[in-house]
Amino acid sequence: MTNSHQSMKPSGIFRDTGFTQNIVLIQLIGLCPIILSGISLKYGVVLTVCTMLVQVNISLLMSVLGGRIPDWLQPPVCAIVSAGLLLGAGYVIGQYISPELYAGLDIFVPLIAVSTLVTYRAGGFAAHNHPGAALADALGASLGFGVVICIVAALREIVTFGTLWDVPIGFEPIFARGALPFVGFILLAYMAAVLQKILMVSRMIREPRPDSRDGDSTNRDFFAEIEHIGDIENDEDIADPDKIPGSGDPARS
Amino acid sequence: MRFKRGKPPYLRKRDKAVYMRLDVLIALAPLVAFSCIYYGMRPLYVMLHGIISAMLFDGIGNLFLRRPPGWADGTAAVTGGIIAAVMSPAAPYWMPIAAAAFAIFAIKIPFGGAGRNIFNPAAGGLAFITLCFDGRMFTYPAPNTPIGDITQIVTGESLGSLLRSGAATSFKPADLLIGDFPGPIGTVAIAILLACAVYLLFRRSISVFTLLPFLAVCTGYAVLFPRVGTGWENSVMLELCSGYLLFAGIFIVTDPVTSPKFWLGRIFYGAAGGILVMLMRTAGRFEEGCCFAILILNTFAPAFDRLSWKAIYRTRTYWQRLKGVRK
Repeated sequence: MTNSHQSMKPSGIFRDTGFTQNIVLIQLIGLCPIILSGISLKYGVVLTVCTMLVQVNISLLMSVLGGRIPDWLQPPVCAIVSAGLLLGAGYVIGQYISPELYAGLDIFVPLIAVSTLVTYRAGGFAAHNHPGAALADALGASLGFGVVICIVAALREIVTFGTLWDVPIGFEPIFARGALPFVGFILLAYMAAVLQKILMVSRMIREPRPDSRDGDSTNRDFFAEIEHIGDIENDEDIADPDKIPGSGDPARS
Repeated sequence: MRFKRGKPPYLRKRDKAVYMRLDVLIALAPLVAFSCIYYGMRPLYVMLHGIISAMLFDGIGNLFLRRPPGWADGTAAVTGGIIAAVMSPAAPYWMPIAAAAFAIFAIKIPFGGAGRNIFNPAAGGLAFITLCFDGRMFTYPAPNTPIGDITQIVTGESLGSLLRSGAATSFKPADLLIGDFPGPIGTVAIAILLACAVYLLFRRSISVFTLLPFLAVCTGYAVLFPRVGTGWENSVMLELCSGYLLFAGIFIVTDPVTSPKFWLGRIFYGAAGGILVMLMRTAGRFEEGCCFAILILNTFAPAFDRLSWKAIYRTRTYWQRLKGVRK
């Protein structure tokens, strides 16, 4: 689930990082900006655009030059180039789009330079593959991240502030502390569960359930065998001295 | 060496595990009844909202887990009951419902449902409400004022806020035992709480190894670091009777699912719980941060079990080697 993909075609790679092994929900990379800064849809979109900018450029760069840079030098190079790109992006946002937006995003725009999302894909995948694959991977990762952060940010904004994209939508903010990190964690957890269910269902549709005589069925419910261990509903046979092996007369057993 | 193998929760008699949860509900009943004497019927309604909503959410959650909706297993009712008992008598009805929803859907179900949760769901629900609605959670009505409309209640200062602001003086023990001070539904009637503790201990529904170290450490902390200027007796009395510390010690910390199983592990667990709860109170942001302390403590339960089992095993083998019994 790390740096290899199931198929090496660009469309396959894009679908992999973006959906089937979503970089945020399944590989759990890049959670920090979502949880701390994904509180408003505008922030989400800005972070997505910045991440995509950095990711695509760094991946292409590493794909072309990565073979020639030694392993230990790759992260610093990524960080410096990303920082340069983000300096420009930050300037554009602060001057031409909205200074309040840039101030509200605080440290999270510069943080993308050292974000796991960028270095993981750049050093792990892009450095060893040709530019087409690297581009597909970069787009998949950043769009995968983008969809997740936008959904989380939109939900949190509606619940916490009652607005969407800073436009009041007539929904009274019921939950003033929705900007706290724990809401982000729980939302991400439920989204990951939903994605897993979607993937499981789509896998079961594509591959019909194999015969139960096979020992090894990949679609079998993982918990079916161990489900009833430790169940406290099975109250009837708890600690019945007659049923415990070895507790009777030693001479008898 | 012959090992006996029983099924958890390792009861000696042939006793159903659901009796433990039933005992807790029985113990909550007089507390609610007593609160109704002071405040009218509202505490009972809050408790019913809590229990029924918790059971409903648990039924829905068990469908996600593909288990039968086990209302017969009582854990959801206990969660709802504990959450409601820590609510203020003037809490709006949606508060125990929201707390129960968080407790079941975010703390209990994702970790595997009844019997497999790592964190105490009641503590989690209370943490959610404390964090998000701390103003309403900690406004308590003055005793002996029947509550009609909750927007027009006469509020009183709870012991917790008095201790926190340093303005606590001495209270008569009789007042504290009867529960004649503002506080949550199930936690002010100290005499009844102690009776509940005795009942649960003798029914073996809670463990004395968890409860006594917890209370001892809290007392010790109150003696050593008093927040009251009038002597250590007052400090101990007020610290133990304020907020929901005693209630948490009896009902939440001793929860059999989330606490260690070994006796020495339970002693460490109770003691650590006492330290964490008192720290959360004195150095924390809210007047009663017990629920956060319990959530942190829950993570240590398996570690205490392992630690104490290894300590005893190693001491015993060392002693046997010393005596020449074992090589």
